[in-house]
Amino acid sequence: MTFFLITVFLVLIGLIVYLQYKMFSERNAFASKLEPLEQLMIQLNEDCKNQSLQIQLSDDLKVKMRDVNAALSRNIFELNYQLFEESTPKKEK
Amino acid sequence: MVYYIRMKKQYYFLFVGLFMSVMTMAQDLRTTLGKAFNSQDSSDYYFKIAKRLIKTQADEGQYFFCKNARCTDYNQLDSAVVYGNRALKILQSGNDIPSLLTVYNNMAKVYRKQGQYDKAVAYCLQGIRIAEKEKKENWIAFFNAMLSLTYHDFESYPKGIYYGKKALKYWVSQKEKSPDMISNALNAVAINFDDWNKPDSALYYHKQVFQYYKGKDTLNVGETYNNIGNTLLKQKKFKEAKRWITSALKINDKNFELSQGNKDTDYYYERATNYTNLATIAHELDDFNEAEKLFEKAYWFSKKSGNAEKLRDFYMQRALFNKKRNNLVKAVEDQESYIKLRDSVFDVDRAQTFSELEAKYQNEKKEKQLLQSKAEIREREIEIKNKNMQFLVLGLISFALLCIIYLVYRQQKLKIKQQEQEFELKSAIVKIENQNKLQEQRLAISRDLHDNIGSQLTFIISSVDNIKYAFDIQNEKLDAKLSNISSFAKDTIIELRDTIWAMNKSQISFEDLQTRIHNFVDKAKEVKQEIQFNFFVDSDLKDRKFSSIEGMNIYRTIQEAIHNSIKYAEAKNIDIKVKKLGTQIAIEIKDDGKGFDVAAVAKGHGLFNMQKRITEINGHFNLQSAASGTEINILL
Repeated sequence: MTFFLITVFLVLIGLIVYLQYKMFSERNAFASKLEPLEQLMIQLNEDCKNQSLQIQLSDDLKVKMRDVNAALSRNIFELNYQLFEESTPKKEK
Repeated sequence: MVYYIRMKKQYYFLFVGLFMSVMTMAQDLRTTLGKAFNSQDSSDYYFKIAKRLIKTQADEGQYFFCKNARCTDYNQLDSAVVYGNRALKILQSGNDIPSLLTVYNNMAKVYRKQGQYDKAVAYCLQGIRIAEKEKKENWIAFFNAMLSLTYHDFESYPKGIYYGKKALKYWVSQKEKSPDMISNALNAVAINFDDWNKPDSALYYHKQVFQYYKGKDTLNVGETYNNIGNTLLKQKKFKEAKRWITSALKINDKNFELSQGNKDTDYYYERATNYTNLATIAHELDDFNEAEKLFEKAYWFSKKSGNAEKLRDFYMQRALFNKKRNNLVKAVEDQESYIKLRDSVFDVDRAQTFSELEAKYQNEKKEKQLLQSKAEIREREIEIKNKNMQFLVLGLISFALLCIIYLVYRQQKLKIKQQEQEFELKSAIVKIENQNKLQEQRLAISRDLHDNIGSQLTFIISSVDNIKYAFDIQNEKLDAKLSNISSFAKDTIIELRDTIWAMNKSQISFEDLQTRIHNFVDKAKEVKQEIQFNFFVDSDLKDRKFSSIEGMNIYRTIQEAIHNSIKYAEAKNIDIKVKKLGTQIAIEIKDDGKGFDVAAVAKGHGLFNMQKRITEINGHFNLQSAASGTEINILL
């Protein structure tokens, strides 16, 4: 009986060691499985960040272009106005 | 080879033949001994044949064993002792335990008859020792019954009752009850009570015998009938006693008839008892003639039985009878015979031997019990130790099981967690990918828009230049406005191109910046040829990379600073230096122009934008201006 119980205990110890080992190897396998995903994630984040900066630049330019558009419109209007002023007295003569 | 096989065959047949002949001879000896034991007239003849068949020591043992049994049963007491001793000598060295125990029992029986109770007790105790060793419980009961009878004959009734009850207890506790054995034990207990003058107890045990023979033939209980009569006789119930004893005598006669006239020990013993009792009753009833006749018969049977106890009883009763008849001479003679017989049986030495034997046996028994209890204690200790060990291991097993349950639970939890992590990561990747795609689409649309704006601006510039040169405009105001629109559009295109350049690069190095600034400086040189530009970048920083925003802000700040120096400072030399300062980068833009009062001049859009751009990229902006020139320091 005692011998049988000791055998059972040893088997259980073996099982514990096996489970520990399995858990350890599963952790490693999971870590190596996640590594490329993490790399991809970092890469995508980097891309995203760069794109965000580019979009920011684009947005800044957009603001600038709005100002440019307003300035050009104003200049062209003034030019037209002057042309109109120049042309109107000539007709009166 | 053939010869060898043939030889082997011959040996095989020889061996089988020898074995068969030995077995047949052994069988013959046993059969012959059986015949010798059972035969009434030809016993000696068969014993002689059996003697010739003896081949081994075991055969010899069997022969003497049978001789002893035969002599015991047929009252040849001295011969029984001789053959018994010879049988014991041989059987003690063999393995035939039942035969050995039977011889011990027979020897005890013989010595009891002879009145040598010490020897009878010694053989009984020796028999018990062997039976205990061999764990033959029934034999222990046999010897206890024999001890009970022996102590009875020795008039040691309490001991007789003690051993009788022991035998009775064993036989009653058996699953398959043997009426003969129980009756034997009950009779042994009862006669002890009877002679101890406890007739009620004696009758109680005697009458129990009928429980086991109820409704059966009374031929088995002749002895009980006689014993009951004997007890009643002592109670002076003579007529009733006579009826019981007469019935006992009739039963004995019937049994004798059924045994085909076999006159063994019991035959004489039973009749000696019956006739002595009947004679006593007759003498008590004053029927002297009848008593005398019966005493004569009783004397003959008592003598023939060879039983000392029976003879003793007989002499005692006849002495009383003769005394009553005033036949004093005969009374004295019988009294003397009684005393002589009694003295031979009850001497002091014998009594001492008795007690010594008893004490020795009891001591041995106690020692044995002590050893047994020691062994039991040791066994129990080992058992307890084993159990403790088992409990310990069971505890460890339970702990290990708990550990396994915990590990399995943890493993499952880990798996779920890993799956969740993986799912979250994949979801995040998908989300970022989608975001990236959206941003890419936005950037593509922006690029299209910028291209469109660029082409429209180019169209405006070319249209304005065409109008200007084609129509020879004399109006100065108009000419200035057209020039203003053209230069504004050109500046916007440059700015647009710079932004598109920055947008098309995910990272901008100092080398890229250097090239870009060189282009800008070259264009500025075209406008202001007298200005000397010095541009220096630390070689360690050439590979340093910035994000598009950082690169763009640095470029725009340097561009703005140069532009200010060209436009307002009237400088002759403009120095641009980029150096490494520990972990930081220091950019210095310096001119030798007229400078300006930093406190007095409100920060216009240019200065404000420079500071804002540097602050946006976590840099430090510093401007110093004096009459000797202006110096801008940027620390990144």
